[in-house]
Amino acid sequence: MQTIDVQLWRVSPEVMARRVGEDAVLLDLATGTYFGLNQVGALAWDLLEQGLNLCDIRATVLQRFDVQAEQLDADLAVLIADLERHGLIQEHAPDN
Amino acid sequence: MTHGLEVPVGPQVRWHAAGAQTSLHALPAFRDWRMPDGTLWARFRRHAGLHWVEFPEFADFSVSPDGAEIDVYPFAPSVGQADLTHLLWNQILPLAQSLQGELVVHASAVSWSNGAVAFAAPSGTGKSTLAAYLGLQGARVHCDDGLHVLWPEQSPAPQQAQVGLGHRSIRLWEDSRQQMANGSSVWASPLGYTSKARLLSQDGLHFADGPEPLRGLCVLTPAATDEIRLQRISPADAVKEVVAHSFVMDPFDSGLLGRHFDLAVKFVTLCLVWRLEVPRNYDLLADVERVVRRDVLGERYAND
Repeated sequence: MQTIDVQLWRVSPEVMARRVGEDAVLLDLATGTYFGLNQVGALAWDLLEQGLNLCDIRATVLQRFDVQAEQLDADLAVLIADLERHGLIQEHAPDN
Repeated sequence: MTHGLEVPVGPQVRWHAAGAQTSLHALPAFRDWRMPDGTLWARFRRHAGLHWVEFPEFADFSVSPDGAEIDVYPFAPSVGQADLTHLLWNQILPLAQSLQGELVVHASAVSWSNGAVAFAAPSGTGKSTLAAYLGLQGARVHCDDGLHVLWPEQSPAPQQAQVGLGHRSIRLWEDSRQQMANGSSVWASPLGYTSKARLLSQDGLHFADGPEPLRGLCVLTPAATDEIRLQRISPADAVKEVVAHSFVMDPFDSGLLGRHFDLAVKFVTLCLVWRLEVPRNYDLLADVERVVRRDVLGERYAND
């Protein structure tokens, strides 16, 4: 079983993401539901789309934003759980 | 047959004899619009490759998939021409425009010398009252309910969205009408489907003659106190507000929904969106005007 740090997620093909300023807005075409992301969330989404795991996402965000590592860990955990719960991302196994 | 009605420029509109089309109502609907009290206002169906919108007791309207053709089927000869014209302009045309890749927001809009401001809100929140008040104070009224957004590439103003022109009337509930009435106002009869009176273009109210740069969109919410509050909405929330307050023929059509989403994003990159808390107090409308013109349009007053 993988630890959460190296888990990979696949962004749902039903999701449209657009940047507006530093924020991002997601539209789930399957449900017609909209989600707003602040600038940290928007960066995390970009990195999820690129196929990065949580460990790499965490490192990139820490590099770009002045944020406490503990707070970021908590925020990322909440974000990933929310995205997964709404079906915007799905966990998947790494390609061999 | 045109019935001598005022027909919008754009889609081809065909008028049919009363009672010519009544066989669709047994088909399942994919969407309903309801009034705040729950009364059915419009019912949407798909049939024979067309979108059908039924306004109970008034008419069926069919709209082609590209939004370019509209057919009107009144239910009875007694259905008023003013009702049909108003439904066509304020409901069907915006829905057809959504199929043509246009953005039409449920909003009133007025302009002054330095630009236009729009007011989006659900029915009953005061967007028509505010537009009527501002119009009677000298602003030019662009629309009461359907703000047609024109993009920079459609106009000579670079980097700015513009507000187009709507039907030249404002509908007001009776309490607002009484507050707005003055000696020079001309009031038309309420339409058959609403108890709202209509204020038409005349000496006291001026309608715009052409598009104007749109400087801001204010989303109206009722204020709990007499305090007028105006706050910028974050871009992400602004997109959600624009989507929530705009016309889309079929929100279950993912292609249409995606294109509409992109239009809302484009709008937010061109126009600031604000939340405006408005007290339900007619005596404060002058203060609302002052706040909007000062903070959205950047006008300065001597005592600011």
